[in-house]
Amino acid sequence: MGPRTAAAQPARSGVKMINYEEELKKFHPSMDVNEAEDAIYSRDLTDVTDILREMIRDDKENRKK
Amino acid sequence: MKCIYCGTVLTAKDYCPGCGQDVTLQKRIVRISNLLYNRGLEKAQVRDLSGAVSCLNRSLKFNKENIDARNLLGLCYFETGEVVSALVEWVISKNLKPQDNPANDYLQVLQNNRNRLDQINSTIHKYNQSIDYCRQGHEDMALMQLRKVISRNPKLVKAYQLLALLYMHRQEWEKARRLLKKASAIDNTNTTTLRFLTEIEEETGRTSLFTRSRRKKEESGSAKEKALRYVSGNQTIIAPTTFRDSSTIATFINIMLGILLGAAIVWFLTVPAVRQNANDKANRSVTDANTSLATITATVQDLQDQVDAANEETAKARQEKEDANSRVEGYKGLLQVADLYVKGDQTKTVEALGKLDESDYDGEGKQLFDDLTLMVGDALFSQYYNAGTTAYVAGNYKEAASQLQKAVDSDPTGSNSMYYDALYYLGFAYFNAGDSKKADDTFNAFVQRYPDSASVVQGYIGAKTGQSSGTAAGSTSQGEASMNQGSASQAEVAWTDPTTGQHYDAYGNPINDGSGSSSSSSSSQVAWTDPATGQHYDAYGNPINDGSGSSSSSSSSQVAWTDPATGQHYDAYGNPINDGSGSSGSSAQIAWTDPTTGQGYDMYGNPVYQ
Repeated sequence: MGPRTAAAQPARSGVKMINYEEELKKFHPSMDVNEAEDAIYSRDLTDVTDILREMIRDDKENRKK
Repeated sequence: MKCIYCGTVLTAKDYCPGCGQDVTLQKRIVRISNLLYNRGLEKAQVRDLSGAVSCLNRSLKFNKENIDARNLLGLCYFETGEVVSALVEWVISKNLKPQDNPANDYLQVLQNNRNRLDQINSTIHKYNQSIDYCRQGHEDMALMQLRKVISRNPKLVKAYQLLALLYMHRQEWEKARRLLKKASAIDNTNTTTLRFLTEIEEETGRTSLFTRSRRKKEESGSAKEKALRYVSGNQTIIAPTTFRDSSTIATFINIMLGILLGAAIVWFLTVPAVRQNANDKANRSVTDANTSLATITATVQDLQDQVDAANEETAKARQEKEDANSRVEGYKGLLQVADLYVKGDQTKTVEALGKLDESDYDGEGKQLFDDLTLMVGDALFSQYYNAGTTAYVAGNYKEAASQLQKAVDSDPTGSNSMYYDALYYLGFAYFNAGDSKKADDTFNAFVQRYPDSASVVQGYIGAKTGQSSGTAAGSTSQGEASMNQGSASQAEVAWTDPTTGQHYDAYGNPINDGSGSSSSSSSSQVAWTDPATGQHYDAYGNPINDGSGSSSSSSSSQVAWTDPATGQHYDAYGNPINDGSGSSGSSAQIAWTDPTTGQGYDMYGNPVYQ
């Protein structure tokens, strides 16, 4: 393993790849057990089938009109 | 699956059996959901939990009633430490399908292990708190909290990532690497983990294990990829990549080889020199020790010699002391003898003088001893002579020789009247005792002194000794026959005490023939008679008034010795007795005359009767 020289290294912008502050912002608090109930109630369980059903109902109502 | 129009349970056909509506799209949506579930399952099986979560979420987006997908999603959340998210999914799954649902079991397990759930809850709190610390700049506090979180909840991937970020921020790359490798073991495709590891690799130059194979594949690819391309301004620079041999095993092997090489160098270069030095030092020590030992040995020998010399001097001094003491004792004895002589006790003087040894004295002491000997010589001679003859008669020839030798030695001039007999009996005592040399010497001395009487002993000179055992009874030794034979009337008389005139037989027993008690004097206290005056003296040297003391020696009938040549009678002191004896030719065969009996004997000891 030879010594690193400036010519052998890939070009860098002079800024580290990982920015500590930026990376830190990506970390969010986790839910604890007390927040589980609220999370369950607030969970949006709408799936594509529900969307399709909604679309069909809207289509029917439009047709009736 | 139920029809979205009427809720009728659908069959395998593409239309609803209830309302007859086309359910193809609905079935397609379900199929897509299942497809995504399968992908998620595959990813979960290879520990690609992030990918699995993404696929499963998408699957649930298509079909929220995909229970398997929801349960698996809960498991993936649980495996990455997101326990509450897992709980949410399982609760929803249970509500969607209360019966025959694995989510019931999962929830039951969590409810049964309440402590574990509380512990996980506390770790989540600490993790959230760590995020706040980091944002507030309290990185040390965050580090402590995150270490606790990881120790209690080792599956929380986000905690590993946050802690690794903190180490990277502090440029503790290896610690960050270790944490991220643990996180990748849980979720090996987590993008955050991968990004962090890539950054660490860039910073340290060491590749992580999971990227090595990828790099090897890249390196084993085309040769074009070996070069490094980068743009600098308007130029494109192509530079060869640096070779980095950062294999752990290779490094370990290199280290081991280096250790071995170093050990070999030490062994072959250094150890012999050290050993040689040690040997030289040891040899020098041995040499010094030997030198010291030799010196000490010589010193010891000198000391031993000194000790020996001191012992010799001590012994010599002791001997000299003993000699001095003996000489002192001897001189004491000599002074005692002189004292006794001054007091006039002749008898005790003689006895005491006989106990002294002439060799103990020198100088004036010797002169005194000689003077005393001379003065009491006669008495001493008589004492020794009597003892010698008594022993001779008893057959103890060795004792007789010793005593007679002393008698002879006490009278060197031979002036004593009994000297002849003493010398004669001495010779025969030696002869009978078996000492032929001394017997011959004595006989020769006798011949030399008394040539006229040489024939008496001539025949015994050079003859075999009688080797007499010295027994008193029945002895027929030479010389003793003369003591045994004689006149009939006095056949028992073997010897007469010149002092008292007492006759004794061959065995030394006194003969009761009136001798010794009356002939010498009317008093029995006569101890000595002056041969010149005939005066009788008692044991204390006092003259006895018994009419003795006449000047004529002829009135004394004590013939002690008769000259065999002339027949002259002599008394005990060697004084001639005027009794008409002295004829020389009365008997040509008479070689010796018994002084006691007057019996003449030839040269063979046979009595001659005239």
